[in-house]
Amino acid sequence: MNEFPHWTLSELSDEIRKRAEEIISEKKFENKLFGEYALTQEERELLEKILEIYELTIIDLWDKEEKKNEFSTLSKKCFDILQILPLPQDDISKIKHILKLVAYSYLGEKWEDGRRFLKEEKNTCEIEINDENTWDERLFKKTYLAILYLVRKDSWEDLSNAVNLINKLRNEQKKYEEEYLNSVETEFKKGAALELASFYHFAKSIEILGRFMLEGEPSSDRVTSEIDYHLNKGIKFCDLSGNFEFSLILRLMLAMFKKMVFNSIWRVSERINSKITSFVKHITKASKPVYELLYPQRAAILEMGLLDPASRGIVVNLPTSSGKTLIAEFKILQALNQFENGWIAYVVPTRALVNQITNRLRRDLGSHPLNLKIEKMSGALEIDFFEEKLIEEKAFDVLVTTYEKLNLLIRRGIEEKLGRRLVLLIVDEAHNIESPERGLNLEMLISIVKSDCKYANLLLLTPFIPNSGEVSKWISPDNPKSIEIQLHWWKPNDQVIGIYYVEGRRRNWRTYFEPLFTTHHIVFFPKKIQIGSYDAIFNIPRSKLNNKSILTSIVAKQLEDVGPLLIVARTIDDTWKIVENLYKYFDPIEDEDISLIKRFVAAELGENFPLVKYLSKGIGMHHAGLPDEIRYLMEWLMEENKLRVLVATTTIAQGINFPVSAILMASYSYPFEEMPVRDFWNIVGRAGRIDQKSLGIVGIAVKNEDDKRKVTDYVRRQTGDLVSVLVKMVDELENLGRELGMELIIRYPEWSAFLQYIAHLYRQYNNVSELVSRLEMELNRTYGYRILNQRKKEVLKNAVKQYVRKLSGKAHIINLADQTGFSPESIERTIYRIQKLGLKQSDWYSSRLFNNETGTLRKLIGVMLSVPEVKKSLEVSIPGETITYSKLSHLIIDWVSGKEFTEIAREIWGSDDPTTISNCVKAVYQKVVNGATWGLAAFLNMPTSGIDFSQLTEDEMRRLENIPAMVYYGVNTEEGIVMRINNVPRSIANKLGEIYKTETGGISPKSAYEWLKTKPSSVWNESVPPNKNISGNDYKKIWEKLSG
Amino acid sequence: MLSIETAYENNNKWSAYQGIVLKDGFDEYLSSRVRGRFYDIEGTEALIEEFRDIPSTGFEERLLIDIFSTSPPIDDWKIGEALAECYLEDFEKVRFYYPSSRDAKNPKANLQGADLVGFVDVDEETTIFLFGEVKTSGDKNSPPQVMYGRSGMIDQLRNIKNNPNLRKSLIRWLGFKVKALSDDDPFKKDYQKALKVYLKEGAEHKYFLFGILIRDTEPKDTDLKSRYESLKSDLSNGAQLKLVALYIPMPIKDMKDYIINKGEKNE
Repeated sequence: MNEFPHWTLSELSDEIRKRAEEIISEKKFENKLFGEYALTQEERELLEKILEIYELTIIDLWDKEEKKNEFSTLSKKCFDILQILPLPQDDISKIKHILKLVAYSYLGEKWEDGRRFLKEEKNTCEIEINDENTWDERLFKKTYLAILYLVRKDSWEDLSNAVNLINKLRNEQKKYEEEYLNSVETEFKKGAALELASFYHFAKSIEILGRFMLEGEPSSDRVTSEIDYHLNKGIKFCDLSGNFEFSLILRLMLAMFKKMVFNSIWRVSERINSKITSFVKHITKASKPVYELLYPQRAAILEMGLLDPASRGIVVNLPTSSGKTLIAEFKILQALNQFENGWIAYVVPTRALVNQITNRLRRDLGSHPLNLKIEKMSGALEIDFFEEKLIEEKAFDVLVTTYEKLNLLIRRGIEEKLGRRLVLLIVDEAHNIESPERGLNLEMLISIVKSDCKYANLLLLTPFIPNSGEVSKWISPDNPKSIEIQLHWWKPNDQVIGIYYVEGRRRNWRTYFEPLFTTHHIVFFPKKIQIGSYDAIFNIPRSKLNNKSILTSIVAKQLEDVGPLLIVARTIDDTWKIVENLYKYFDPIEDEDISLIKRFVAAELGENFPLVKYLSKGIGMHHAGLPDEIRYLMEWLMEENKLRVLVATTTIAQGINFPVSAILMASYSYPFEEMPVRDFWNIVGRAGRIDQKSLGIVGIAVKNEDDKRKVTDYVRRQTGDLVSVLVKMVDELENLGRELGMELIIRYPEWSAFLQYIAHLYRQYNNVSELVSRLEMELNRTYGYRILNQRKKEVLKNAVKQYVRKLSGKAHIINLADQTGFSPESIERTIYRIQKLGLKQSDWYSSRLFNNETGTLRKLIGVMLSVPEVKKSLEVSIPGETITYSKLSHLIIDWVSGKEFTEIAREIWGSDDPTTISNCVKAVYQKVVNGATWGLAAFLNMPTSGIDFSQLTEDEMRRLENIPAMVYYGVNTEEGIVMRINNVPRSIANKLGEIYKTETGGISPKSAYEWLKTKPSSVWNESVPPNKNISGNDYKKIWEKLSG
Repeated sequence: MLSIETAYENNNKWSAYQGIVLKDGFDEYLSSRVRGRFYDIEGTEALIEEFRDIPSTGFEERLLIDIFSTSPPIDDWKIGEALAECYLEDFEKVRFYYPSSRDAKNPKANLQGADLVGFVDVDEETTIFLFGEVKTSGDKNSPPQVMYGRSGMIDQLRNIKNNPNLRKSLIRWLGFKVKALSDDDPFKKDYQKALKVYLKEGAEHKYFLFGILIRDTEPKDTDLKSRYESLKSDLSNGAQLKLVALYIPMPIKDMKDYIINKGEKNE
């Protein structure tokens, strides 16, 4: 569908075309589900006919630059058809079929799929070569194998194998050629000679390409012209001998080889600079080497000017899994090259991503030869001593952190402290601008960088947004650039989206999958396919399957062979129900990695924590009720293909950053609201693994017709424009402001990030009137203001003017607002409340602060919960909580003291059943580490804290500065913090830190990392608590996983 | 001017066979028309030059050059092919645009073609693809041996008919040939016309299969009849078939005199 007019296609009715697409879709689906499919004679003939017409059209479009999109589209379709048509049995026909298939995968911008086909279809490389083969056959078969290596290129060896095969052929020429030519009848000798000559040139072109892939030399232009020369010679010889088929194959190979050069990663290094060349050399030699760019990468980097130094702001608007990190890496290198002594910030939405991106960048850019210094800062809204140190020592080229943290750093003048310029800000998942919770903060971060960091370029990475042009105009008004994929059909992999349901009665039921037609559809066929039926292991009547958790568990069991599944449920409770069912259906599996993680989970959450037993059957879980480390390890097991199923909540699933084979959605809504369409597609984007049958399956559970209608409507909804949160807020300001007064509205907590921005601006002007006169320009730096209509702009401007006047003469308050991330209003209130507590410096020492006896923490929590910014992130519901917050403060004290979750749950919740432990973990990781850390850090800065900073020794300073970090990391020593910064599990962090401190004398995150890397497991052993069934060696292995 | 006479024929809707006696003017026809066609292919000299660059591939060129250095034998079957082409162009509304390379065929190649690839007008408006095989035989038996067996005409035609991939390849290959031509080039126009018919859903005649047998015997319909029946019986939709036997008024082995020396006996 979406065809374009062409005279050869006019013979093809829409009906036939649609039918063909449906056959392809259906067979792909069956192949994925059942590992096999069959074509009827009628289907096969239809596909062959369409293939022929497409191929003839492709020939007509060949080399027509203005038709290249149509050319690619048809090539992709040919590739799809060839994948479905049966592979011929005899070697020669098989070779022809596969060469064609691979060539079309390249020409259709789907080379990764072509490559995957070669790997999945085991017999693609099973070609019989023996002494019975004549020389021409031998040449054909061996050149074919060499091409397989070139396309597969799993490693450096594959490429050198390709080159070696050609070299061997040269040696074999003496042995076989003469004998062969003698055997040919005289009248056909010339034909035979011409065929051989074609092969020799063909072989040479393979060698040239193989060497180029390996070394990047000679230049791509030169390689292209050499390949062109040799293959055109080959084609000429074929034409002369009337060898039409070979002539066609060589033409296809010529186009494919040129494309391989065109996609080659070496081309990036040709045009830019030495850093990029080193990087390319590095990644082509890595253990999982990259030789070719995916279509969006190539388009972004080589065709759409990602590396164009004139573009100050670029929006890269590509689907999930298009290889955006590599795009960012190239941009990093270009920026560092362009600006001497600059640094780069890479911001991401979650703590987990801070770790993942840091690990990835360290692996790619942090080692020889580039040796860039990649550092991360925690997501905590404070700057601990070690982070201060990092800034002081100017010890990084790239800093990875969260949006909010960078906002704080910039407002606290990190650029000035570093004495280096921020030259590039990379914002990952930038569509979060529209998130009601965090959007405004992100928008203000970008606005502040635009205002404060004069040299900073911006790179926004987003999944699909229709109005990326508008966003790029915001970030770079003079030279906006938005990079997006033009081809409507390009997707990282094919996906089918549909519903699953049950039909039948009592114990005679069947489950079905039915594809839906969606806004993003690729694979669709109007037919329901049976997934499975009642089985004794389920032992459950039809009526119970109205429960979507049960239905989903059963379908997951029935899809066991499809590959790793992600199940998405609405709430944590639902995930427990699903895993409990799955546990009944699956058999145990033995695996070393799983056993290791089991021991770790048992050590962290107790032997009885049910995840331990679930893991033994390959079932993992991923939700807010699990510690960060365990979630990370679940993702790792999934990536390594060790888990059968991972069961996650909808909220978490959005942040999952690895591909799965299929996704089953027991729900597509968040706990309290419908999932935004963009988030839904973001989850869907994970379906389809690179290393497995490419089709990704996404199923949504439905229980009746009404349900089905709703889902059908939902998946057809368009992804909307990216809109600033500010727009909605100004609507409210206009409506409510008339009644309540604008001043009041603007002080609502959701305005905090905006007010901080205004306060920050205010600091840069001498007086109110100066700011007011420039207000239009300053507000224009925000995305929201730009897209407001004129009337609303006036409303906002007026409110801001009123507000700014009130700031006059409050320089110290404004200063504190920048330091803490509180609004000026919250600062004033906090100063007053803290003063009333009458604290002394000694009250802040950890031994007194984290002590149930002193009651200081309780009082501070009381203040925190009166600050709107913190309140939102600290409110925890604990049964039996007192009005003095004794339970919450007790929880924090237990957490900092290093107590295990089981113990904390028992003490605070009065139970250690799994749900309680899970609630406890959630309270700590979602609330305490964010809210309490932030609150404490802000309070320490208040003039009424009782601390006289001018009188502090460096040692005292450090102890105080690290107090919030103790809450963040859940440890009570500085050495513990250093261990936690380096991803050491909390349960051994204090103890291992102690050993480290004794052995090395000093404390710094860097030296700790080196120490951890080199220490044998015996040292780790010493830190393991005696009652645990886990070894130091296990911990070390876990640590290695967590550190990427 | 060559005059011809039909010795026997059998016409059905989509298939036919004919025995044609070539009469007056054949000498002249051979030494001018056919001779011109015979030599209308790339010269051997130029090919040897092309081979000189094989060493740049790392392979050796010696044996291949040796093969091309021996002067090409003028085989009867090659003359037969040239004659068949000329006959079809002059008497059957057929057009060939690309010189076929009789000199360098390799029927055992991994990938194959057909002897004749051209276009034929089947009525005022319609042009379709033509694929053909040519056999030349002085065999006295009727039908002659060249009609039988794996490399016999009937099997080769059947192969074109039953092997859609071969047909597809030939058409695609023509597609590449016409791609660079201007839109009003007759070759391109014929190609596009023929392709339209070929692609038409349910078209009754999509392509034409031609078999040409060159004989120096008395015309006998037994030369074609039984083989024609056998091929016709499994003729599938879309194919038109015509077998023609050309009876020439001289021994086959004498034809080369007209090609080499325009009719002077070669001593």
